[in-house]
Amino acid sequence: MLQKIAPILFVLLFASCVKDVDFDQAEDIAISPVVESSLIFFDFEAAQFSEPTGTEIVVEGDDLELDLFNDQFFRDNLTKVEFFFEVTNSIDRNFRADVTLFDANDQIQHAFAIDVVPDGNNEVEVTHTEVFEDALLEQLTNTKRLGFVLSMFPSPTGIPLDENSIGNIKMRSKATLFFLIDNE
Amino acid sequence: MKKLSFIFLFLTCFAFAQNKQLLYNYTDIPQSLLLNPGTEVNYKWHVGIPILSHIHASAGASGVTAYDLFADNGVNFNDKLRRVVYNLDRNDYFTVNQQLEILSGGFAFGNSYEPNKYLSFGLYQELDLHFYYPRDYAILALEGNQSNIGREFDLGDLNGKGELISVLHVGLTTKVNKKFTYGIRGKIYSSLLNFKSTNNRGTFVTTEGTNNFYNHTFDLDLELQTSGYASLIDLDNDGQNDWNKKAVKELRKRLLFGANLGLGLDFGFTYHPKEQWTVTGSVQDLGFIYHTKDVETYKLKGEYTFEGINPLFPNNGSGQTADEYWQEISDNFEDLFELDTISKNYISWRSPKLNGSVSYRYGKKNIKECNCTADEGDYLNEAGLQLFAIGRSRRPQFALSAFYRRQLFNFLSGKVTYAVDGFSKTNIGVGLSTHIGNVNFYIMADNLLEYQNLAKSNYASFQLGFNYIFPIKKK
Repeated sequence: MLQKIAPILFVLLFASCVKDVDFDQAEDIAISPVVESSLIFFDFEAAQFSEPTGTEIVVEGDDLELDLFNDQFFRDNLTKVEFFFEVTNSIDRNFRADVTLFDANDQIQHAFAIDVVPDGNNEVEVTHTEVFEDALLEQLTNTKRLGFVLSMFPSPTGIPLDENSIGNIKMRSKATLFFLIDNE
Repeated sequence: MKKLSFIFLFLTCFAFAQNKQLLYNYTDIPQSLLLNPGTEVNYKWHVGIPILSHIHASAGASGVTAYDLFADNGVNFNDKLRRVVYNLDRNDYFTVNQQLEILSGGFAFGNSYEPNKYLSFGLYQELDLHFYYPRDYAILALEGNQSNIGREFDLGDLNGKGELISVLHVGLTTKVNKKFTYGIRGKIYSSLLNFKSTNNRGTFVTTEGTNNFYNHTFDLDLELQTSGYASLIDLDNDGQNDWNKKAVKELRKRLLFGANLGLGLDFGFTYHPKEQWTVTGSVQDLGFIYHTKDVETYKLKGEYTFEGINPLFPNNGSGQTADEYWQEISDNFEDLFELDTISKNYISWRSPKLNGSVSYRYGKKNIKECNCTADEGDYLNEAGLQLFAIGRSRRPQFALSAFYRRQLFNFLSGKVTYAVDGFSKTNIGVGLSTHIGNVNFYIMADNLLEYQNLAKSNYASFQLGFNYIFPIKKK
C-alpha cells in the first residue's frame, strides 16, 4: 500500500511543481579539458659523447613503453594531441632526433624527425610541434611503444669529441592532450 | 553517463536536509518526542499507524538549484554548468535525508492520579547522505591542468558520507513538576549500508620544471571506508532486476540487528521559567556505529613527482640500466595509483543534532458555557524562536527559525515557520495537525515561497504521519 502511495505523493509534492526546466539538457554535456604532461628530456655535455673516431655517426637511443593512448577513455574522448619539443644545442655538430611510434605488432604507425644544425658553439634553439589529429590521432591511439634515437653526425674536420670539448645538447618536451568529453 | 547525470539531477533537485523546525516541540504530535525526549506529553498513550506514522523526506543543495543548471531558457547547458562549477564554494553541500517510522508507540505511567512518566519506543529507518562540493576536482575535470600551472588542486575537497540504518529506540520522559520536564532516549543503530570518505588529504600540482617543462607532483592520501557494500557487489548477478531484488532482500535482513551495530543517545528538556514562557533544548543522535562485518576500505596513498622521461642510456650518468630506470618510473606510478583494498574495522559517528527554542504562549480560549477562560495551559497562540545545528565533517550547519503556532479549532492546529539557513534566507513552512476522534494526522511542508516552482528552490522537505492517540480526560 505504502509502496504504491509513497511515489505518487512524492511526485505530487515535488515533480508537479517543477517548472521551466528541461532535464534532458544533461545529455548535451560536453567538457573540454586540456591536459599537459612532461614528456622526454635530456641534457648532455659534449664530453659525455665518447667518440672513438670522429668520422662515424654516434647513435643513442631507447624504447619507451607508451600504451597510455591505447586506453579506451583516451580513444573515446581525445580530439587532438600535440607533442612539443625544444632542443637547445651548443655542440658544434649536426644532430637528429628520430621519434617512431610502433603498434602492438611492432609495425611503424608514424615517424618524425627533428634536425638540429649548429652555429659553432653558440646556442641554437630548435622547436618542433607534432600534431595528431584525425587519422594521425588514430595512429597515436594504436601506439604501444615509442622509439627515440638521437644521432650525432661526424664533424667536417673529423676531430672526435673528447673530455675537453665544450657545449651541450638539451631537450625538453611536453604533450598537450585536448579532450572532448561528451555523451556520445 | 546517463545514470550519473540522473544521480546528479536527483541530488541537485532534491538534496534533503535534517532540520524539522515544523515538528519540533509540536506537542500534539508524538513524533516530536523523537526530536526532544523532554517534550511535554499531554496524552495517555499513543500508537503510530505502522509505516504511516512518520514519513519524512528532505533535500537541499546549498548554493545551487536545479533551475540554475536545467533552466529551459535557451542558454547552453555547458555555460550553465560552467557557472555552477565556478560559483559553488568547497563548503557548499548536497544533502538528502529520509526517514520512515516502521513502528512506534508510548504510554504514560507512574503516579496513578497524574502519571508523570511517559515511555515511548519505536523502530524507524533512516537514509542520510551528505556531500561537500568537490570544487577542485570539478575545475580540474572542466579545465585540465594546462591553464592551471602552479595551482595546487586540493584533493581534500572530496568529502562525503552516506548511511542507511535502522534505529530501535526507547525513551523516558519525566515530568518533574509543572515547570520542568526532561527526557532521555537510548538508540540501537543497525547499519544496512555505510560509506564514508571524510579524511582525504593531498594535492596535485603542475609547476614549471628545471630539467623539463613541468614537474607534476602528486601527493595522495585518500580513503573510502565502506560496510555492507562488498557483499552486495558479490551477489550473483543474473541481470539488473535480479540483482536489485537480491540486494533489497539482503538489506531487509539487516534491518534488525543484522550486521553492524551502534549506540546512540538523545536527551532534552522543557522548562517554563514563567507560566507563559517556554525554553526547550535537546541533543539527538549522539552516537556511533562500529563497523566490523562486511567492511572494505579503499586507499590511495603516496607521493611522486614526475618530470618526464630521460631516454638516453647509459649516458644519463645515474649508473642505472635503461630497464631499471623504466621499472622505477612505472613502479612509482603503480604504487601511487594502486588502490589498496583492506578489511579494517572503523567507527562512523552519526551527525549529532542540537535543537533549542524560546517561546511565549498567549490568548486563552473563551468558553461560552461558563463565560470564563479555559484551564491553565490552554493557550491558543505560541510564538518563538528555534535554533537547529547539525555536526558535519567539516563544520556544523545552522538554521534559525521563527515560528507561530495556533490552535485553530478544537480538532485542528497549525504552525508556520520562517527559517534562515545555509540553503535559503526565505524558507516559509506550514504544518497542520488534526485530531479527529483519537486519530491524529499531521502534514508539514517547507519552502512554500518556492513551491510554485521547486526547481528554483535550494531546499524542500515534507513530512506526514498518522497516529492513534488516547488523550488524558479532562477533569
